[in-house]
Amino acid sequence: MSAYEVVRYRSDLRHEVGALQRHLWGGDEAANIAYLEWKYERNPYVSTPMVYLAVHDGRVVGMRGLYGSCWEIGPRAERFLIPCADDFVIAPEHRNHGVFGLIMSAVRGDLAAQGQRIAFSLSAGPTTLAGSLAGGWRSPSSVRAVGRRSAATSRWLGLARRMRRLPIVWRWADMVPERRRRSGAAQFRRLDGRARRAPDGGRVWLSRTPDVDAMAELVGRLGHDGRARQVRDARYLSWRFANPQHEYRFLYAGRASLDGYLVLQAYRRQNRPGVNIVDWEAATPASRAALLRAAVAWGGDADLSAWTISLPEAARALLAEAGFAPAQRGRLMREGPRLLVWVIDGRAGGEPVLAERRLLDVSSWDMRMLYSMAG
Amino acid sequence: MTAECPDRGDLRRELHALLLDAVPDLPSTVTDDTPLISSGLVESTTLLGLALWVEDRLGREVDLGAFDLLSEWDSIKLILDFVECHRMTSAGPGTTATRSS
Repeated sequence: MSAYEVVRYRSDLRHEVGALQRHLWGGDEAANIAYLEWKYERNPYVSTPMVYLAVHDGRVVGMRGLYGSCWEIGPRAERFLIPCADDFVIAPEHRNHGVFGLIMSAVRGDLAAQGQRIAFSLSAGPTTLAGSLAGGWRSPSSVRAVGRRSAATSRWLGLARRMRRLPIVWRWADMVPERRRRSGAAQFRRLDGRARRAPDGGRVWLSRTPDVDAMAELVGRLGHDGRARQVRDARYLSWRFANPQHEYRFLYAGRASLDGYLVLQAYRRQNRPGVNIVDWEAATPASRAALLRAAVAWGGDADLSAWTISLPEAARALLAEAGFAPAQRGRLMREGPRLLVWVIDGRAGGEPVLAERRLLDVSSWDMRMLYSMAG
Repeated sequence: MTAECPDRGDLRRELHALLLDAVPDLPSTVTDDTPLISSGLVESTTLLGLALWVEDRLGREVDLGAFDLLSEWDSIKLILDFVECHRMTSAGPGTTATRSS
């Protein structure tokens, strides 16, 4: 254990980190570095990347990254800069050597010295979830993911099911759904072809670029109910939609001013199929419904997913009417990723509270996929 | 799905095998009371395997966020106690019936 040293990320280590991230994202080191630079070096809230590296024999063998995020919480919309723990990877040969605990101990000491009290993790996968819970993180809820399978996917899965029952042929059954996997741009091909491209009598239209000023203005106009949410101003939105691993499409509703928006996202990497609804705002029920109708009508040939943890009842009903049902995810993550809260000074004990909001109470959150790196 | 009901000795052997497989250099001095998680011997990837093993033994879902993993799974003895305790109840903190597929 003593052979490991934990150091803060420096830009001269980016190639080593990009190489380590092959265990997390895949073998394209240039893409890994682009993501690292966007997320941590160009973060709008933190100038010095909060990336902690485990070094062994002069080689980077583990990392945990935390990106800066700005939240507004409580009746006076108090603002808090909160680190969100995300990328976590340890080289296979160094797993189960206490490296995770060593890195998190260094993170705790460093963040406490900076005066940070709380950290979040917003889309922990099963491995990170298990390690985090063992390290004292606590969870208010899963994100309550729902999904809508396209007709084509249903047909392919039906074919795979039938193949599994046949002699010899069953060997290839698992390869059938893989044929449906497509990259981000391909996921949006039909959406791009079908969608209306300009405002037309107030109906919904699609853009490939975010109108961050109009979106931020709408968010401000709709107001804040005191639940914990990220500050969605133009600066944040500009950074957020520049995620190099993701591809986005923006559905807008309104006339002179924006009346609603719905953001769709797909993964650029081949191995992560599907399209997510990552944010969905509307000034009126009619606009909210129109945005979802358009998303399904134009983009419904892709499998669609959404998080319902903080959606109002009316929005959940719209999703159900459109064919969304509780997602069937992998074991230990059946309702999707979990929100996690970490009291950095664990000795303080008690329940984490910010601006009078109890963070282990799911009703304290206005959580959207956009806030996490899943979206 | 119906959970098989091996006795505590069988469960202990299975658990030992699981840990040895995941942590090849697990010290031979590990006993039923050796801290596994708080000591760093068992980390996230192995914890994940452990959680799946517990689910299999219980025959139902385990909600990791619903109980204190560190205090309830920190040794072989505690993990076996957890399995036995929840196997005797139809559901408990952190466990729900497995959905049929």
